[in-house]
Amino acid sequence: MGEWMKLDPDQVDKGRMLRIKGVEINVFLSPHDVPRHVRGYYDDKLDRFVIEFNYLDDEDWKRSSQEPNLSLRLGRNSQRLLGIEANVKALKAGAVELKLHIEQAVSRAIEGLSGQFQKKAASYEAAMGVIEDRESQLFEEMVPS
Amino acid sequence: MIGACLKANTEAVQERFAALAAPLVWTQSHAWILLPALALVAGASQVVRRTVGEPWLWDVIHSLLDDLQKQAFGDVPSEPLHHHRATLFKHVKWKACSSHWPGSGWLIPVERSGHTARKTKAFFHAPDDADNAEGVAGKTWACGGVLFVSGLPDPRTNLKKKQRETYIRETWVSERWFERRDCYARSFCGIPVEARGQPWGVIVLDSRNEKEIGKEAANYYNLIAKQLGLLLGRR
Repeated sequence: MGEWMKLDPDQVDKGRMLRIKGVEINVFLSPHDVPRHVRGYYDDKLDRFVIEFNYLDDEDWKRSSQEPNLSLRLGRNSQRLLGIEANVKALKAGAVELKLHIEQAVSRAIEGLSGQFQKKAASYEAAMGVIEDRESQLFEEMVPS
Repeated sequence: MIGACLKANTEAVQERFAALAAPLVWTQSHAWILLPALALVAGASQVVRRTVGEPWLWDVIHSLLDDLQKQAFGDVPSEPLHHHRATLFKHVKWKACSSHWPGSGWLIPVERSGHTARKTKAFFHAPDDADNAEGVAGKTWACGGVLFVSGLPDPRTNLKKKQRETYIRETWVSERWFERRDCYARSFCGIPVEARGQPWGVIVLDSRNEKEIGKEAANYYNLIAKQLGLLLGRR
């Protein structure tokens, strides 16, 4: 199983400028929404490549299937992106194609968010940024050893 | 005890403890109303305890806020610590208020760091819509992120009209709100608080110093977030 990689919260979340009622301010992600660790590994039992994110709080997750060979693990209460499961054999995807599939699934998940959870979109984007930055280490164990 | 009172032999009590006989007779003759009334009181106290939370729980939350205040502002030895505060606000759906619809969402103060100036009546309108949220607390709730405001004019001095407008605009409060409350702070940092994976409220760090409360100060929240979330989730 892949080793957890520690993330620097300041690197993951550089803030975004918002203009609220004429006042321009820099808003950062809620500390609860910043991924602290990430790992990628091939789960032999599931027969899936898994990317997992770890946050300040531990939480149960539910599986949200966006497409047949790719599903997201979302926090049961928070809707945070806790993991991604990909059937790389069926997808017949290399790292580049898999990244595209993940991006599409995450975009669809963001579109599906409503109400309070729309604020999680920035957290999903931060998680995608982590995949982008750590791509080579994360996708090392993309296929069964 | 009530059971024992009801079963007691009044004649025997009269013989041995004459003073207790009268209250015993009264208890036995009013048992039909006493028992339901006691059950009602017990039920109500359970409800109150569940809603307000147990006292020890609030002591621990207070000490976590003290830690946050010390970690975030402790490096300014020349200034009293109570000039820099950490206040925990809880989001509630309903609050009696004449200026907005009572059921539109509110942030009410539930605990504050330090041992002086702990009492505050400041509450904020906090609907999910960021444009209508009030104060740094309300905007933090509506944005769901950490935000910083600094460099505000000193509200304790006689502010000129323009400075006053700047303070009101940049802290997102109304003229009426500003007039009715004692404002001291010149910089703020709002941090969203979660319990059981769901938004619970916000913590507002405020300081009489106009310098920005650094991001590292907000990072100290990470040290207490887990415990705070668990405690608030117990309520």
